This record gives sequence, C-alpha cells and structure tokens, in this order.
Amino acid sequence: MDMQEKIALLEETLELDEGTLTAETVLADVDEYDSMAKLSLIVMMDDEFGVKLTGDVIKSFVTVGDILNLMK
Amino acid sequence: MVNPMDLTGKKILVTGAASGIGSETAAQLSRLGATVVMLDISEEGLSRTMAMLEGEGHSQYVCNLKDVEGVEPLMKKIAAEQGIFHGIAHCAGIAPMRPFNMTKYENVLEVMQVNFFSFVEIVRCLTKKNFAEGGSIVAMSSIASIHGKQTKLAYSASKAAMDSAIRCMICDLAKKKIRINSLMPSWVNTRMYQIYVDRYPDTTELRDVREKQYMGVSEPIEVANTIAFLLSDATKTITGTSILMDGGISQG
Repeated sequence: MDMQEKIALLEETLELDEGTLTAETVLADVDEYDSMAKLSLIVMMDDEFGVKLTGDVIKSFVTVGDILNLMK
Repeated sequence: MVNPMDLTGKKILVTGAASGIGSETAAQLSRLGATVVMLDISEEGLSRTMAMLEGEGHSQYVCNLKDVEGVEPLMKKIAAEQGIFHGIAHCAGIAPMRPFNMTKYENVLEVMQVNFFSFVEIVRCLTKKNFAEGGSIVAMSSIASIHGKQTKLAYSASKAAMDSAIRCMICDLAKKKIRINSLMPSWVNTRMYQIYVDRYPDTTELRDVREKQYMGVSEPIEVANTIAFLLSDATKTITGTSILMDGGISQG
C-alpha cells in the first residue's frame, strides 16, 4: 500500500472527504478526530495491519504522519 | 453453622475459565466444594486458573467456541469422561467494540458464534442425558442485553439473544428439574475493563460509570458469588430470569 492509498484509507476510516489529510496534518486541528474516530482507527489498524494500538500510542500521535508510520 | 451456598459433591462446567469472571468463578466454586470442569481457548490461562483451585479432581479442556460445529463432539467427549453434571457457569464470551459503520456481517457472525450459538449448543448437548435433577445453569449476559450502546451492536445483540433463548428453554429444562438464569452486570473490574479504561479514558460511557454506577464497578468475586448462589440449592425456583447487577446505572 503506497502513501496515497494509506491516506485514503485513513480518510475513509475517519469519514473525511478525499484530500482532507496530508502527512503533515496536525490531528488536534481535525474536528472529526474524536473518541469515536479513535475507536475506528483502532479497529482499522487491527483489521488491516494487525497492529494493536494502546492508549499511550494513540495519545502520542501528533500528526497524520505518526499514524502512517504504523500502517505497515 | 450452615452454608446455603455449599456446593460439595457438585460437578460444574465453567466456560471461559482462563481469565476474568470465569477464572474467579471457577476458583470460588472450588472453595465452596464443587468439582470444576473448565473450558477455554487458552491452555495457558486454564493452567493458571487450575493452580488457584481448591480441592481435587478438577479438569480442563481447550476449545474455540467460534467453532460452533465442534461443540457437540466436544460435549460428547466431556460427558463420556466426566459423567453427570450439576451445573454450568457459562462465562465464555467476547466483547469487541466496533463503530456501526465498520460492523460487517463477518464481525457480527463471529460474536454470535462465540457468544450465542455455542451457548445454545453447550446447554442443549449437556442437558440431554448428563445433567442431574435439581441442576442449575447460569450464563453471563450483560446490561448490554437491554441497553443499547454505541459500538456494541454485535455484543448487545448476542446477549439479548441469549436472554431470549433462556426464557424459551425454561419449560423443557424444568421437566428435568433444571433451572437456567443469567446475570446482567454493567462493567466488572477485570482486565477487559482495565484495557477499556486505558484506551478510552474520556468516553461518556466511563463518565456515566463514574457518576451513575452509584455502587461502583462490580468486582469479579461478587459476580462469582452470585453465580454460586444460583448454582446452589439455596434456591429451587428461580428460573428464566436475568439478575441485574449494575450498581444502579440503569435505574438512575
């Protein structure tokens, strides 16, 4: 999965319009990134990449790029 | 001194015995004198629980309740090896959280297989010929059975299905002098709860638990004691009911 596909998957997971996110987007600036979005993220990372996100890891995310780094 | 919850001489199947409520229940039933037959997917966890049990003659079986068709042969094997049962404490279950828009058929199916279809199979198979008169079955349902929760569609539906099925079973089981009931707790202080608190400390659900679960989060031992009460001869006529143990959260 290339970078563009990962960003598209993230946008779909967070129910955002295509082209909303870049690797540099600061998560605190995304209104839709609430507790339900974080749950969607946890489920997607587990389903698609087998990655189990802990509370501490989620808290450590600052930009979209931080999430992309774990999408492998 | 009398102990109305004495379980001496009773053989009880405890599913989900490797951890959480199931593990606590197996241990407490053994302290009350029962011989415990444990079932779980985790052999390692079963061995941990086995080390907590008092008394002799307990045994353990490894199985994955997602394999619904495997339940009948397994129950036949257990019946052949263990003989007559006096009770079942059905604690096995999974409680995944999923937003509705990510809840696909396959996700719902898996939860129904583990939490509901296998439950029906276990009760059906074990009560055919291998259950003593006066026996009792207790299943772990949840407050989710009657209260909708965002992200818990499959779990809630599986528990509602279980409670509904129990009400349909009472007549047939009563003919064999067997009772069946369920417990509906809110959050119980198990590892599952600690993981939830760690991952989602700020959810409205946890705020409600802190503010409206007036009697606090239940401890596993309280659930185990309530199961033991329903399995024991302390009651002979409670059947087909679901006991709410939610600290008051659903009423306040």
